[in-house]
Amino acid sequence: MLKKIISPYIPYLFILLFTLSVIIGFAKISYDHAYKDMTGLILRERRSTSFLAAKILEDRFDRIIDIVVSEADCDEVEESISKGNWKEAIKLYENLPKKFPFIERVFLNTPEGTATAVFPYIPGIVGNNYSYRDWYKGVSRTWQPYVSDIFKSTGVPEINTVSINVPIWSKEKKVIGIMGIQIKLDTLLAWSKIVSKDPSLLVFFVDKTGNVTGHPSYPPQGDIRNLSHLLAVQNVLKGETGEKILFDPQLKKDVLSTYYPVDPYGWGVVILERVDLVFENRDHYLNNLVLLWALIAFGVVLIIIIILKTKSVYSRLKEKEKILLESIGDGVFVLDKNFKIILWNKAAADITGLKSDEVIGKKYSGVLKFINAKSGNDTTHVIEDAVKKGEIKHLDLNTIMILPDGRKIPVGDSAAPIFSKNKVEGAIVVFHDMTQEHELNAAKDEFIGIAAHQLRTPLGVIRWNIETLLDNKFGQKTKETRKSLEDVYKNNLNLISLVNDLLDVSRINRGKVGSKPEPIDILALVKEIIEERKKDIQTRKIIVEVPTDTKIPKIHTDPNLISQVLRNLFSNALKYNKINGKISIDFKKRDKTLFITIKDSGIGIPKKDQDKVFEKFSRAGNAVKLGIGGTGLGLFVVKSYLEILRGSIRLESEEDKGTSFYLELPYEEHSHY
Amino acid sequence: MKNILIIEDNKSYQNLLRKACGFESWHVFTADDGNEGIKLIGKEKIDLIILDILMPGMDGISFYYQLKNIIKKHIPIIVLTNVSDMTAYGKDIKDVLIKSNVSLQEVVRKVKECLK
Repeated sequence: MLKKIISPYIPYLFILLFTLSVIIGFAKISYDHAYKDMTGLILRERRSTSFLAAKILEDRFDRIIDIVVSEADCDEVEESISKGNWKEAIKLYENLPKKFPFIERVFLNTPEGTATAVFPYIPGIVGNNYSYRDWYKGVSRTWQPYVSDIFKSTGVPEINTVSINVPIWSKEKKVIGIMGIQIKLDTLLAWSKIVSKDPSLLVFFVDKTGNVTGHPSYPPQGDIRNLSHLLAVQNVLKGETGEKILFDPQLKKDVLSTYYPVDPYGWGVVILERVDLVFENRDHYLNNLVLLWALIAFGVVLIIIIILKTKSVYSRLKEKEKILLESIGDGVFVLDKNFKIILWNKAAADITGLKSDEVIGKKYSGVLKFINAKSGNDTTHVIEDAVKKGEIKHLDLNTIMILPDGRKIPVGDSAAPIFSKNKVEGAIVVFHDMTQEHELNAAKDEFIGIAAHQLRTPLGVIRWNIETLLDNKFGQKTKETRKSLEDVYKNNLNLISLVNDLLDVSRINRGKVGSKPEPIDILALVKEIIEERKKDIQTRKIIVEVPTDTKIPKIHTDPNLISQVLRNLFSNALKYNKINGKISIDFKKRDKTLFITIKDSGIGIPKKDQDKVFEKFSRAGNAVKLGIGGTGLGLFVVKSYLEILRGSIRLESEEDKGTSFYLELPYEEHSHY
Repeated sequence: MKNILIIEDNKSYQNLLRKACGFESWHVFTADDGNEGIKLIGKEKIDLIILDILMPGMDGISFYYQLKNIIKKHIPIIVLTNVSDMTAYGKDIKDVLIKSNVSLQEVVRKVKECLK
């Protein structure tokens, strides 16, 4: 069940996962890059600081050594010492602490390390041998200036100090004594502060044994701190440069230690800094970066979901549309704007026997042809017209669909354009099989045809018999008898006229009416029709106007059809006219078309009925009200016959003023006439 | 005196036509179908035939073709029928009239015109 629900989404899940992994990949690369760059930058910066600190220490030691060396190289001192007069010698240095405030004390010692004089004087020093001290070991090794380790000096008060010792040479280049100065550790603290004033940055110096000085947290006096257990201290004392992140158990935090050796003196510089502070900016930046990527990922996922959702809604709608179109009982096919079939429903397949995969993607006119059963004209283009004009088109009721195998199916159909943003994007064609309707209509028309013929026989017998009775040859009748016979005769004629009309309609519907053009004189035909109705014209006192112009062409058309058309129209003009009315007939020719106008001054056709008067059994409301007889078939026959003659008819009418019929009849001019 | 042959199966029409033609002092022969008509033509000299189309036995069209192609006689014919789709025009067929659509006088007038 769950699988069934999830399975349609699996491709989408894959797309989502793939996109997400691409984004995560990019995020990782960008994160790593930023991490590496920023860390490198920070570490390089720290290393520069440690280098600077090392150089400061080295420079200070160098300068102090220079001072001490130059002070030791003094003829007067040498002379005094040579005489064994150490007191005299030390006096020469009494201004040194004043001149150089970093100097705590000045000592003079024998080459064997026994203290001989000290300034400022403190008791308990002179006479003691200090050859065990680091400073003595250092300077006496090669008789070079030496910077000692940090130690607590003898004497009161005890102070933590670093001493710088240089040999005193005789003129004979013999060591005759050692001059030493002690530097207060406060001085070194001041030096370390030159490097950085940042309180989070701990800059300090270590001597050869790992003792610490210059550390802002450790006071210069008091216990001497040794940090030789720290890896950074061990490394710097080995002469190495570098960075180490170590856990500080006191701070309970990781600490970054940067270190740089002060090679000439065996000392080193160490800078300690809490890792979280060092990398605060970097981590902040990286956090923002992660956030940014998370936002990007979220945005992309959201967009994908929206797209997929829209797509799925769209496809569901399409599916629904398809199901709807499939379910329609009529044949439906949909065309794109290139008239290619893009949908072919089940009913279309059932009616035509063509499966949808046989027709999809093909141009419709390559699959189906439509012709008009009556005229034989190809009407396939009607669908294209619908698309081009953006109008709904109905195919003629007599349309026949011709299939690729030549089968013919009578169909009724309509083609409607499909609009998208006011642009025609294709067409939808709906059609249904009219075979049954056609068979039914054919049977009906045939029945009417047969019935009408059968009706004509008795009607004809009645007509002739009454004519015979009315003829005075068969004896005189009373006025009443004559009137009754005339009434029967008139009604019989109406019945005959109805039968004739029905027969005409039946023949039109069965497609039995054909056109056999012959040269005819249209004016003569009109005059003949008028002559036929002479009696009625006189009775109703109608004025009939016909052109006297003999230039009216002898035209080439079917005489039976055109005479029936003119007879029906003239008959209407007469029938619906008023006493003393007028009928005018006019002809005009232009571009092989004859324009015929038949105008009457009769009762007219109400506006609402004008559209319908050419339909079968349609009669104008006013005519029915006035009791004027008629079958409602005459104008249908007129219009149908004109269509067969490729002509047309329209009307203009005003109630109580009259009606004008305008005919257009294309013709071939007959040169023999 | 002119001899008129009426080939018509309907007795009413036969009688009406016979009466009307009698007034014109023509000699009238009647036949109920084409076969009878053919027989009469063999015996009598006929000047004009009034011919119906739909008849039991031999119909009007078969009669016309037999007369034209087998007997090879040229007698003017006026077709008088109620079938409006009649299209069998020929040299001897002088007119085709729809019974219900013409008056008896018109038929007589047409016959007169043809006999002239």
